[in-house]
Amino acid sequence: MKAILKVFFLFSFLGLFWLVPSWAQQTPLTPSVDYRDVPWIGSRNVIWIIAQVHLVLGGFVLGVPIFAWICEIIGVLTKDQRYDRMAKEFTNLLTAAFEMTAMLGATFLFLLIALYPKLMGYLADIFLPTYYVYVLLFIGSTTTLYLYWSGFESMKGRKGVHLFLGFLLNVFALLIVVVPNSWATFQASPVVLPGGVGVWEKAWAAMWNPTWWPVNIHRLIANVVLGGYICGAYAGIKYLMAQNAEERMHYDWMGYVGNFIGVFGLLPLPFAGYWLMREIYQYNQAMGITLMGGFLSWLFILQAMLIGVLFLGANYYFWLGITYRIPGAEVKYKKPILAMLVVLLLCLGVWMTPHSLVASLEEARKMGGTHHPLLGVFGVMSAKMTVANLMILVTFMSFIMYWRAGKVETAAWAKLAKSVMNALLALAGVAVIVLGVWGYFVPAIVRINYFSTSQVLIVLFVLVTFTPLTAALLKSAKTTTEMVWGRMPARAGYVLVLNAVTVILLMTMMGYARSASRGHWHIYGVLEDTSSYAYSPALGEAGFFMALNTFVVLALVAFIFWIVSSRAVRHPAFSTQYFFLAPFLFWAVSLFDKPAGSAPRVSEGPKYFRRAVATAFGLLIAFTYIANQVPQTISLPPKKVEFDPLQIKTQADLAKVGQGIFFGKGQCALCHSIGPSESARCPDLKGIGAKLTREFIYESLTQPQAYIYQDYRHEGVPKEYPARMPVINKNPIGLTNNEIFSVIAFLQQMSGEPISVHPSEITQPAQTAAAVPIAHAP
Amino acid sequence: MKGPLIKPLVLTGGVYVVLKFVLPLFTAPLPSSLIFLYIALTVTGVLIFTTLSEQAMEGVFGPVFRFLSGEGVGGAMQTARLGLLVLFPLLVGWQTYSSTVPSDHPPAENRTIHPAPPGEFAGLSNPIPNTPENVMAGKGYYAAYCSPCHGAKFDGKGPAAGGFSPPPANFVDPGTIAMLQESYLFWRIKTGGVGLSTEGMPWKSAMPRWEVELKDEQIWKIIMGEYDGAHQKPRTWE
Amino acid sequence: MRMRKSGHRAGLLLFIGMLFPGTMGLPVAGWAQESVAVRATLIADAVPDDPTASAWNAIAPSEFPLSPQVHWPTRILQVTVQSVKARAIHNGKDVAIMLEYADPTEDPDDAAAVEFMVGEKKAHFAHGQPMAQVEGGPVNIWFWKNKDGKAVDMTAKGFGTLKAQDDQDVKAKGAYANGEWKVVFTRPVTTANNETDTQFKPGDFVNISFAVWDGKKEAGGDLKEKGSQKAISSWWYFRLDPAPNYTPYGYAALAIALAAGFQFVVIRKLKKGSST
Repeated sequence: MKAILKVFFLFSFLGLFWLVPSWAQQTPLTPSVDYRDVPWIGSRNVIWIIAQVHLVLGGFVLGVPIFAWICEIIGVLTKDQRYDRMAKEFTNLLTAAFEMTAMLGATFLFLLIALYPKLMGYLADIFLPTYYVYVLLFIGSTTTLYLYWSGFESMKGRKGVHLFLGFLLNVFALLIVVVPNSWATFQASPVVLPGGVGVWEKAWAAMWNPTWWPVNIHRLIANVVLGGYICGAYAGIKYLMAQNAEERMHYDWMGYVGNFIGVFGLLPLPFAGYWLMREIYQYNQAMGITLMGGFLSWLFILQAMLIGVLFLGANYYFWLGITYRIPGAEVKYKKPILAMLVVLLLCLGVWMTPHSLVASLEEARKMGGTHHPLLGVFGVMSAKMTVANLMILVTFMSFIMYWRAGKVETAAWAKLAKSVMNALLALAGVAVIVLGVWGYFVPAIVRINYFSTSQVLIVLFVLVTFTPLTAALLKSAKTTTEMVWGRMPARAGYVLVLNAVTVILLMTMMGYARSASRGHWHIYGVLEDTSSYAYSPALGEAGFFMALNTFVVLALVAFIFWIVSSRAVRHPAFSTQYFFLAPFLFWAVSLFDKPAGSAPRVSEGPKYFRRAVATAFGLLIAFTYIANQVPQTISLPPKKVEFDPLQIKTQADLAKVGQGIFFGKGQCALCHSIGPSESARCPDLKGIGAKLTREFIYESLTQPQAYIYQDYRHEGVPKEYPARMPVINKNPIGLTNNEIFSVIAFLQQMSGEPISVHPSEITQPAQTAAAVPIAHAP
Repeated sequence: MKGPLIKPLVLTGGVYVVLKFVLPLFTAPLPSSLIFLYIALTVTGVLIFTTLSEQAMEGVFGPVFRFLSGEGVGGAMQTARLGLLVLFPLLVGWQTYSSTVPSDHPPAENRTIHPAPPGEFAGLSNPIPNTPENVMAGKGYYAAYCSPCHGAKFDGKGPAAGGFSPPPANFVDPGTIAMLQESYLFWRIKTGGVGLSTEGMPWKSAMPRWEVELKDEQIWKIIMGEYDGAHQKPRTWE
Repeated sequence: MRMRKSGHRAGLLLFIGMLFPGTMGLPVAGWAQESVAVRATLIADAVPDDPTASAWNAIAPSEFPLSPQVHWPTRILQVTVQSVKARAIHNGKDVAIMLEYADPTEDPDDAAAVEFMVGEKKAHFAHGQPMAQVEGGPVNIWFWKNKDGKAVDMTAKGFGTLKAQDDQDVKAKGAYANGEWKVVFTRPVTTANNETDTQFKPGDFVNISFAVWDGKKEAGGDLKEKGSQKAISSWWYFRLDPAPNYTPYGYAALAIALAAGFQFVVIRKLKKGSST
């Protein structure tokens, strides 16, 4: 009965979502204003906070089912009841977390429609069909979530069905990330959308933009990491506050699993990030440089610091586990731990060394610029890739060492296997370094396509060979020292908290990076941000918002844990949409208790909780401080240049204007490249000005379907993008004749041809618009 | 002050001495931001390693705490302890003083050497075929227009370079043109220092706006000559 | 047991606290001064307007390398003067800047100039020429020529816009001896022209750059250096030393007291901790 009631409430809540698309369709398509502002805090900042908090909580909501499902499978496979219990404990969170995220999502959406009508109108026009899909997915996800959640009890005997439900839930959850990702990635890397195609076809074309899948994969992995580390932090705090040995053992173990899953996700994450970065660079060099070498380069130094904290924290936790959980292991593992620590620190030192150093003018004069002659070599990509790979290797070895600790292999081939593994590891390390150093001496493209990929493959090879090999070795191994749970020192708990905070902080940071890399564009190169918030704030201010968003997320997550784990158990209703009322009710009820003067609690729990909070705060404050110490630059939108026929005196002027239009308003460069490009979705226009007459180019632009030039053949496999050539003098692009002429002049210039368009052909403002028929041109 | 404690202290001090005094014997001195970063990493490493087990902690922090609390400490050590206790507040005071006093140093400038190019330049490609003649012609233009500052050896140390801050780019450095596409160089040569965005501090750059004096074709040839002469390859996507 | 632990933690904090100020402070303190700025010494008397005045001897010069002007045609690739030394003095009302450079010959057309940005907007050092993506401001140029024997207070915002101002606030005097020019520019610290004159505020750094012309006549009768053919520097910094301010000492005293108090509490905790 209760379950039915819940589903009813949920669906009535979901009703809101049905309204959204129709509203989005009606209102913003003819917006009366482009922007609305929020006093004092500003519309951009409101959206920033809500969007980021929603996104991270969404990541949590989508990461936890993966986490729970994996735990359940492990539980079924190993028959270890603890995994099943933990899966259930985390699924309990989901209902509250899910609804909180949905609420934030709805707020986010309403705010976007209210504050950014121009952008939302534009997006709704393109993505309308996907909104319906999204709502359906949302219902699917909600339904499977509730069934999976309640099935922990009711489907005890039918684990197979329950696991299948969990699988379905994760499929829905994955799709629910993938669809909005297409909206967000379209903003960063839009593709051209021809007019006159069906709404579904248009939406599909827009979804399939170059960074869609790199972001999907990156976010999926990051969600697993987030789920793992939040589990770890929860376990860490619970461990610190534990009242008895049994609780201590359970939460110690849970912390171990959380850290393990977090690290498990962390290892492939840099590879996914590298892929994403590569796609961005390829999509648009300017955006790639903004991120890595330009305005945002300092953000990536801060990111390196946080990732450093994460890697050190994860390894420290493994090492603490070895020395505390396995009695007598300390002496044996001291040397390898020291070696790993030194390698990690050296790698971090390289990773954090920026290309352009923070130096006073005096220091810069001594160095001859802000590149250090010796250490400057650490600043480039080859070095960063190398140390990232080494750090992954070391962390993986930490885990393997932990896994093997306290056991003695008995298999006959153990000795051989171990020496093979050692040789492999040494070889892999050397190979990664050799490739890294060699990378300085080869063209960038060879390094990116072959060397970096090889480094990644080498490390992945080690990961996939060592894991089964070690598993096989340990199957027959004799345990010499049993692992003792519940003996970890307090600092292990704080490390888990620190790692969770770092992961969230990293997510808020990358959110800013993605948004700021678009510069002053809502949709890169297509829809300009003309609001007063078109600039990107400096890192200090941005760092404050990142820390604030992290804090809000942490507070909300802690709140959900508190509701679910402590009191709400007695009030099941509070685990649904009323959960946010719980604290006020409890507070109100407690008012009557207070005069009675209950005895003070003896527990030391709150003290540890306060300290965990202080740890989190400490990191956030330190981060904000550092973000304010690095160079502060605001990225302002560039000065605006209008097409002014009076300014065009020579053919070179005309070509210069054409260059601006080709890469700007005309959106030509969204598909076409000048010169070969992997990311080009249309014919390469290099030399086109020499191959075709200006009349032919003009016709191709204004009547693209009239005649297909036979010499154009796509090399290789035909691309799937329905990148049909739009009619360039009609909406949505709508270039004027003047603008088309200047583009032709630019294309002729780029082909090394004499420009055949003359400035006198440009329609002056006094003349009528359609005055120059192309056929009569000389 | 013996045993496990001495190692981390020596290590940290050693790292500092090497970075600060030994390294400058071979190369340019490191900026303090970098020294601080490396020392912070060393200290982090020491803290991690010494807190891995109770024994290790006791070995390192025990003597420190006993020393600080003055328990069982006598003679010269007691004097050292008192000295430290006096020194610490003074150090904090000095730090506070130097951070509140009006700075004697000009504001730190952190110029982005390679800011993002404007969109209309990012997608260009070199229309001039890469033939030996064109590369030679480019080297000729380079010698005439660029080498006074960027140097005949492409190392940024031309005879006219000395007075400029920031110094002319060193093309032999793997962190400059080897990371960039030809179109980026085209933008930088064509629009010159004044074409940079704010983060590139255009007001400080002495790079001429070559579009005033050179044809696009010459600029493309210079780019080819420059890569060839500096033994670098442009970044491409093929 | 618990007490001991909390003592440990406090001790750890103290330990780290002691380590970091030390490592942070030392590298900063260790730097030798390299010339990147001219600092005008504060004096009580009138500022010297004569290059030979003894007041200049007490001031350490800052030295800046010069390059031929290559930014704009017509350029030359060799210049006579390779570097310039600069000193400055102010008394709160007037400021004096002395340039000192080696020039083998004294010629009527020898000339020198200093340039400043005006106002908040950044200006390109080449006469404030327009920048593509940044809105620039004007520059203020103080120009001295041997044969004129005086300074000209000028303004420019882009090439071809250089012109003498209506209000001439700058004085200059040159002296040649032993193959070396010494040129002193003097001007009030602030003037009435906010639009065209740079305004100094003690303690604040402003940008400065230098230019020198060797006015030697070559065999053909042409001047060796003239107009845009000159030795220049890009932007460096200039500052008037501020009047002494004692508040930082107050902050330092406060910090010492706080640190001592913190230390006292921690050690007390340590003692208590280890005695249980």
